[in-house]
Amino acid sequence: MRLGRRRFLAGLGAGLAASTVGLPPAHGAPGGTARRLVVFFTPNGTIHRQWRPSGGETDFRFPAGSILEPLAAQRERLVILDGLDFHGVSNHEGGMAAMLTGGGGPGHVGEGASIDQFVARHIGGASPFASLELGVLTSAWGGNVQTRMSYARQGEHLPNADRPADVHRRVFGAVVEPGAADDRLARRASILDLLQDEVADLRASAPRSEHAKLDAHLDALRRAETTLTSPGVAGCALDAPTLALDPGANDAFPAVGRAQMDLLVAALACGQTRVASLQWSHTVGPVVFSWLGIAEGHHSLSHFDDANTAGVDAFVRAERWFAEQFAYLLQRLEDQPDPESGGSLLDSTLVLWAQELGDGRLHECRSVPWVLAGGPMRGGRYLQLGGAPHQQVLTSVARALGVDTESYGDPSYGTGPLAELES
Amino acid sequence: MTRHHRVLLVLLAGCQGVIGAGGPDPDERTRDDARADALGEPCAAELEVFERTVWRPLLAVRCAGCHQAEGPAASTRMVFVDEEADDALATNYRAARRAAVADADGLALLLAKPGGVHSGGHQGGALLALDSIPAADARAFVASARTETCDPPPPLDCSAPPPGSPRLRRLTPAEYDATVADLLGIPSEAGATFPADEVRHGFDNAAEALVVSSLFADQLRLAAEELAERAPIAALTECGAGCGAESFVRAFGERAFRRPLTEVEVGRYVGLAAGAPEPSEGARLVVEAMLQSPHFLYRRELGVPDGSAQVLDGWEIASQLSYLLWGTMPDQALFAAARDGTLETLAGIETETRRLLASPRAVTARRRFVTRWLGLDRLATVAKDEATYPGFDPARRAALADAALAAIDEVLAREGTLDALLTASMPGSDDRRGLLELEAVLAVHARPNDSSPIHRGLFVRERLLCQELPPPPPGLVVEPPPVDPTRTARERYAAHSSAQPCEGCHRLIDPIGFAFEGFDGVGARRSAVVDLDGAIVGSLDSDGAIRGTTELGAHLAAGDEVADCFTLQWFRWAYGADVDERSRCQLEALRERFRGAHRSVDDLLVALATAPHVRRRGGE
Repeated sequence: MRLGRRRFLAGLGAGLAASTVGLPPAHGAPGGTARRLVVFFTPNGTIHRQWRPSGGETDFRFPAGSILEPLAAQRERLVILDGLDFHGVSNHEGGMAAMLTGGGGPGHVGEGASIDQFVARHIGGASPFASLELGVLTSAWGGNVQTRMSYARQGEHLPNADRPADVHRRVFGAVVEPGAADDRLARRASILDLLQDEVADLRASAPRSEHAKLDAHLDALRRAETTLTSPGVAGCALDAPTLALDPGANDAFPAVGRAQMDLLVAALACGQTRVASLQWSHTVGPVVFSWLGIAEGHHSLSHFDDANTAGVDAFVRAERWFAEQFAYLLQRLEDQPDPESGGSLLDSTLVLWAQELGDGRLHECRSVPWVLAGGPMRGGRYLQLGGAPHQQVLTSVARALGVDTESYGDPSYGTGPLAELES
Repeated sequence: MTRHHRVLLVLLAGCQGVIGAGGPDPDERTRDDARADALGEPCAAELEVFERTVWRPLLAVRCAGCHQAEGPAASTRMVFVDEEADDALATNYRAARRAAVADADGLALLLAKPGGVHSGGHQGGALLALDSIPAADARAFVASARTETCDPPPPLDCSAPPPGSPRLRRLTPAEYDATVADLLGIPSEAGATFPADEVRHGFDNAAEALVVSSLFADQLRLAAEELAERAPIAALTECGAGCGAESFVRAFGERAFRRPLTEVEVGRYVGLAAGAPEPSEGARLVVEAMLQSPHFLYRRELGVPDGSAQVLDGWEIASQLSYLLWGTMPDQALFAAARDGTLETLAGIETETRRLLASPRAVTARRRFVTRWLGLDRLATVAKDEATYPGFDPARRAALADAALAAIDEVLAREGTLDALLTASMPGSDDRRGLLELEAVLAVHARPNDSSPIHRGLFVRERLLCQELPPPPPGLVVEPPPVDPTRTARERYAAHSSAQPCEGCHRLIDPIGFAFEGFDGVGARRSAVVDLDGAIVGSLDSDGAIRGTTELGAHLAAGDEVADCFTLQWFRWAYGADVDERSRCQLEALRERFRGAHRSVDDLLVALATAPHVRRRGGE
């Protein structure tokens, strides 16, 4: 019985411990299995010359002024992936669509879902939220192939939550006090039962063309049932974020991003989810880094030719700012104890900094700059991959999270994990 | 074989090495091409239909930019020549025919490649929805081009047009807020907490894309809880505070679901209310649940079977009229018209349509269309550089949007026509003419620190001419020119608009944008002398030289192309879907009527509200 179980767990005050229930057995990647996955996205590609570390696999360093230099303090936790290709796709939209899905479709591992959703399906079931998709100014153009990166299945992208206050209300706003929560929970449960009956009836009378829509609605209601009957968040109270600006305003970008990172780390630490993503803007994103004194939109900056030194300098400063945000996220995860293992949250969380393009000037998906951090990966490495298919990294990510698979996405471009990550 | 053709073959032979993974083997391609070329010369009738239905609307706009001798797709089998070249149309027909004759998995390359379903991919990306009208016309071309006989695709037969598709349309966030305000009598800002929906052709109400994700369901629940808490329960029904559970469920339910409840539904909600500790709490529980119910959340346009079609009932028709014309649920009088059968006749629908149109609420609803059509929804957030344009703050942005909408309202109240929207003196402005000169429109379609011939040219192409252009192809360095007040936009954008490979597409965009150069990046008039010469090329019937936006507006108003596009945009907005093969004849009928009605916007709305689509849909 739903409420009874919740009351039992809440009574124990054991929300976090209980959320390990249903975790698949650890296997796959050497060095242990990560228990959480975070995807961090920044748009519009890079300038390789300014992004690349110097040196070899283990003796690399970040040149002064280069894009990744702000990550120097976390060097030992990083695996820098240089020379990763999205085979068979190019351009903003193609890159965005293939980035986390590996170009998959029916019959492929993941069926076209993005890697975060695939992993969530395996390890997210017992958490209140299977996954959280957080965004920073991702929705001014609505949700579409350019503005979304998570897919439930082929062609079905998931929306981002762009407003920190709403994220807080959804994830941490549930009544915490055991006992006091019961009335509200009982109400919600009885309404959810009724709604599921209604949607099922409507589906029975609707033409086939509307079935997919109603199936997705039913899935959402079933998921809500899990959310509402999962262990509570006792001890995880978090103040609602306050922002001076509308979260859709250009100049709110840094504050929204910071608030979303804090919420994301808190949601992981409190066992509200095991899979979370943070998407900064979107491909072709026009954010103006006004706080750095830059006047052009980020997408325009990403097109400046090498001859335009002032333009390239502005782009590199913007990219370094993103690296600083990534460093902040890693630091927050490092500072947060893992309630399950005793180590830091970063020790048990695999973090992927994904991008959708290689050289932004060329609109190409070759040598797309990705970085892995944390979790069980052996860090402190700079890997030069010479055109390895990104499906292999997605496969490695799945395996690092304990999902035993030999491929991810479209296998015609490559199967198996990235060998370098297996050692 | 023409001389040109032989040259092309040599070129192709020399380029076989660059055909990427997934391309056909060279022998197969040569055989395919030979088979296509052996079909001989197209007849005049085939050429005429090709130009009108495939070349101009599709190939010239979306394909020829790359598929030309100096373009990134020069090594493919489909290479077009400039329209000015000798015998260009026949040459381009033959080039398209090669892609029509070759097929992959049973689908012509001409469709498979841009349709994004070819196993070898398409360098230019997915550019063609396979269920769209351009794809349907391309399919007809393929069938005709594959034979030697002179058999052009037949003209569209609208003697017995099929009904459109039945649909469930989830409320948009704006519709949700407006509906809640009418239903509960309290304001709602909950719509802003819902995740952003997909935007298609600029509109956020495409039925197919309005789905309930996990995030949406959670936000909807939180909104319902909060609104139910605040709802004035006693004021929601005629029976007031003394309402029994069943009476409350029936009375409130009929307004929430926009139709009477079935007995099963009444039983469900009475049962839900019975679980509450006291009666008033039961009513609140019912409100909370109904605000999440699929019957509240989806606008039902399904109908009941009548032979092979579906006939929509008065309640479904009432909701269509009220959401189209008022953007919210039906009022008491419209519900009464649904109940007493008035809406089952065309005359009854027209009477109610005119009543709704006469209300100020129709102006509010029309603003939502205008906002989306002109892209003004982005004005609040579009990035502007504070150093270049100081003071362009949220208050200024809101004021500009309101001024633009008020000006459009006034022009429509006074003159009522699309032509006036494009050419009339705009009230409240410094003698600006037409919507192209509205500050809000100019500011949205510009760079953060400069004007932008590209953004403005694309705006005219996509929103006024309904021609959607492909994104820049991969592999090109595409850099916007730096801001430089000493040079005109034409000089700065010369690389785009006059040199290959950018010229292939940017000739369609930039020259339109140059006409806007009298206004800066936030729509203010420039004081300096600027070069305002522009041109429209590659349109259906709007080609010509223009100088400045006043002339551009007058030029666009003179032809039928913008009127036809405006009808299509309203069609998409009104019916929550792009036109497809089933609804194509209805669009053509609306276009004919709009042109004949001196392009009166109100007449177009009456036509949309009384079209067959509102009363009948196709079965499965």
